[in-house]
Amino acid sequence: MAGYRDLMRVLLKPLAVGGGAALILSASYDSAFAYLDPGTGSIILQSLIAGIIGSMAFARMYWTRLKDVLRRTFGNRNSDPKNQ
Amino acid sequence: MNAPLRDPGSFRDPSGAVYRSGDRILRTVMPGNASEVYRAARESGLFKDLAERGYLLPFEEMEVPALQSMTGAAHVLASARLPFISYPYEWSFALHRKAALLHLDLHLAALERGFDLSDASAYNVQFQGSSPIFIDHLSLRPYRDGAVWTGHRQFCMQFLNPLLCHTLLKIAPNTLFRGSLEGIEPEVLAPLLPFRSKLSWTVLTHVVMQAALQRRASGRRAATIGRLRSVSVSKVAFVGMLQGLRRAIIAMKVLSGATVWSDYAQSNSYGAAEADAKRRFVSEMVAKVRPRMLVDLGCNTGDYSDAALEAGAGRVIGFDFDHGALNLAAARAEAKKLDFLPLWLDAANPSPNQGWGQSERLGLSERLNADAIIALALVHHLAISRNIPLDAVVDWIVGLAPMGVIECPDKSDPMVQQLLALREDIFADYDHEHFVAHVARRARIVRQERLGQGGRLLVWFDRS
Repeated sequence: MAGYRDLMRVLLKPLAVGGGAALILSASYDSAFAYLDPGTGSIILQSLIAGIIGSMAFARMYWTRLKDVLRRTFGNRNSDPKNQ
Repeated sequence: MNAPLRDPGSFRDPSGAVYRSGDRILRTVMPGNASEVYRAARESGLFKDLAERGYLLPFEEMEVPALQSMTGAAHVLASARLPFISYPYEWSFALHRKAALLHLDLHLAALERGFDLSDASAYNVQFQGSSPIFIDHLSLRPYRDGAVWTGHRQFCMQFLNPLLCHTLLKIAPNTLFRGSLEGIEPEVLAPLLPFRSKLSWTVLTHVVMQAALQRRASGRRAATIGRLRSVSVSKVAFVGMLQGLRRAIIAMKVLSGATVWSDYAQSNSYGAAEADAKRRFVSEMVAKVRPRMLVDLGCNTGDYSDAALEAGAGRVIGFDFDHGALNLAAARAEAKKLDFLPLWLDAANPSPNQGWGQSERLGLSERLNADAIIALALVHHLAISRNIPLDAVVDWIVGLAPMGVIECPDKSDPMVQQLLALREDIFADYDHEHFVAHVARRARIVRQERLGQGGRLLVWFDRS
């Protein structure tokens, strides 16, 4: 059943992406060009904000795709925008 | 070419320095990393694109053998010298907001092309008329995946926090900023803010949380702090942060906006005949003198700056103490596209030489190079409200430009009576006779005119 496979793929994707994000987080950033001290508070804050913005963007994408798959699996074919 | 003089405020970034040579500003680019970064930006067309959008001061590369052999610079970038350098502690809310938006727009445009900014200094934004422009070409560098926003804290201290002082505290931050040249720290602002304002996302994150995190981190060992070097911020999040701040700053409104200004222009008909006479007098002086730069001390909303520009002044730098008037003046300059920059000034305490070596940021008189001056409805504020001897007031004004117009209202004027309403009149020498004598001792009096039946006297002086 193609719809079910799609559903599983969407549900499992976050784990794979989360792992990738963790890898990026551990990569070191070379700040060779900076003459300015960015400030401890600013960097920690940025990592928090980045996490929030990143997960919001991800949640939005995830939610859209989940809706899409659910619509394709269970929805009325006539309401699918692709069929209009 | 004049021998280049190093700008005493240019020392922080080793990638280059700023020199002044006649009417040109020369920016050196040092060999190695800095010149590689510069060439990458140049070859990508970034500078040209940003200059075409009006974000970045245009420049051309020049061979200056004397400067290059003296400094070892790989490149020299030459740009036109701006007529006046202003500092963020001289900006009104309207100007500061424009500068902040320009900085964010430039940063976003650079990121789109794969470039980043190394800092977020408000001193890198200057005004041409009342339009902001970015002047530091060496702040641009290639963006690296995962890079944090290096200038974030600086942006908060020099742009966001001063604006929040205006909007949330209703306090102009100019005196605080002037005493703290790096700007207003989140740790200073956070405890001053009312609780309700802390519920907004911008204030909660960029001010309250940043201040708490910064405080918590103080005293940590270098190794612990150094671990933060590995923090990585995705480009989506980086751009999201800039756009979020941009939205927040756009939503900050100038309380006395353009609509109020037009109301003001229509309702200010009282004393219209005197105002017309004053405008005529100023226009005649300007038409005769044709100043490239005119200073308007006590410019208010810019009525007479506007008249002076119409009469042929090249540009006007205005100064006033009242922030409401300055915001209206900035709205006027923008609406009518005037080459008019209205700045904040306490005439009894102008910006001093200060910063490192007491020469990093220059005092007002060292930066002003005016061909003419107008000082209308100002003298009584200094001589009476601030107890400055009339002689000294005249001395200061006449010293700022070789010619101009000064207005002196005497004690029969309602404004002067208001200033004396609660205090003893200790100003025996405050009258037209003494005023004219003080001017005549320093300059030739070209003409004088008494306005209407009131006690206002206009004096046109020339000491050239």
